[in-house]
Amino acid sequence: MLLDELADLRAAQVQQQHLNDCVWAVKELSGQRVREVGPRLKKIAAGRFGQQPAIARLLVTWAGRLKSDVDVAPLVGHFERLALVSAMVGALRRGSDRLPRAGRG
Amino acid sequence: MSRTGAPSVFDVVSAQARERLDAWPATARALFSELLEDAASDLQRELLSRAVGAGHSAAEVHAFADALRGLSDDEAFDGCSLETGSPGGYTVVQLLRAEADPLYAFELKGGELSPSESRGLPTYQPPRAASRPRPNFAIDDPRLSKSARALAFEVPSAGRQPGPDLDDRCRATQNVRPPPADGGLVLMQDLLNEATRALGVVFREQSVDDQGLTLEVALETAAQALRRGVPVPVALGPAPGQSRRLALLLQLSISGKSRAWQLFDPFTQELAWANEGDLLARAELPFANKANRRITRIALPAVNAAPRF
Repeated sequence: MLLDELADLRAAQVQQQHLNDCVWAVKELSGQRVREVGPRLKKIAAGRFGQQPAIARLLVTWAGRLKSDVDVAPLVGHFERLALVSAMVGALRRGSDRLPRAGRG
Repeated sequence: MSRTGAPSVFDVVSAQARERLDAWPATARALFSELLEDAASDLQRELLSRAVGAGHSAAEVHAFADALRGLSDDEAFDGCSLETGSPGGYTVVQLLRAEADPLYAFELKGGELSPSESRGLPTYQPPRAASRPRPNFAIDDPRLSKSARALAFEVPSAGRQPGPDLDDRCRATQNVRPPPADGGLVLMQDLLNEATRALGVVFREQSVDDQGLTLEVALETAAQALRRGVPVPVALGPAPGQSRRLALLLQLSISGKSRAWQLFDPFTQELAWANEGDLLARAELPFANKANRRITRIALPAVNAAPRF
């Protein structure tokens, strides 16, 4: 799931900085009740990420998946991991140029 | 006083830094002497001395000196000091380590130390030039001169000692000395740290099964990182010291006594699970390219914390 989401973000040419900003926004929801988090995610999607449809879509999708309070922490963790993997994949792609045959060997 | 009894630039460095310098090869000590001479102020000399004392390699200190040279004292001080009241907040470990290691603080605050993108042979620039040539310590570019490569690779950078502020897991990562076979040849550490700095994760790259860190120990530390939600980058290749491809350890699955690792190759987009026993056999990986049979390098998170945002 995470890699599929990353592929979508990559296809939409979402910059890492926007993804980091998204994580910051989601992180602010830590500890809140699910009935508050869902609407706030949608509000963030429409507001702060209105110009980033791929991120907005992701936020709305996850808002719809929230069922109970215990889902909030894993949601935050998922977005953190998404941003981290995205950053690391970008770094590895650049790092491959340093390998013999540009890492295709 | 210097070893010869005559005054020298090394007189200004601390005993801790001098102890580190003694372990450096002559070429690296000569480089550091030049860096001290070229430093714009006593404050910058002190920062360089502390970076050496913290165990950074000659190449890292060289890059650090380059970054500092164009800064005023106020800028250099601010760039190497963490503010406890910053919006993102720093962990206690980061704050304590930064106290003793200005280079670490500089990088943590977003300071750029990566070598330039240029792969060309470094050209000579006089002292005090805005950007002196420095070894491209991140790659084994054949176009680099032999001396530049020596500066980049011959210093055992992992002589770095953990401070008392680092916890056991961090210590386990940092105490392992990179082997000389490709010791100091950093494939991904600088790029990873640049990419994940904003997320509060710092990686330390080491070779695997090449005298120092064994794969068994590396996987144990990697397992701890994955439990905290931090994926672990690795290099793959046919033999120790021969890295051919970069990949990520994404997940760890534990079933009874057996463990399985999920590997992701960002280039071929291959995603596969490997039993730990197969990884430790060092004979085959679950990717289409069977030439890369084992993990040759690993970048372990050096901060014992989940990503900090």
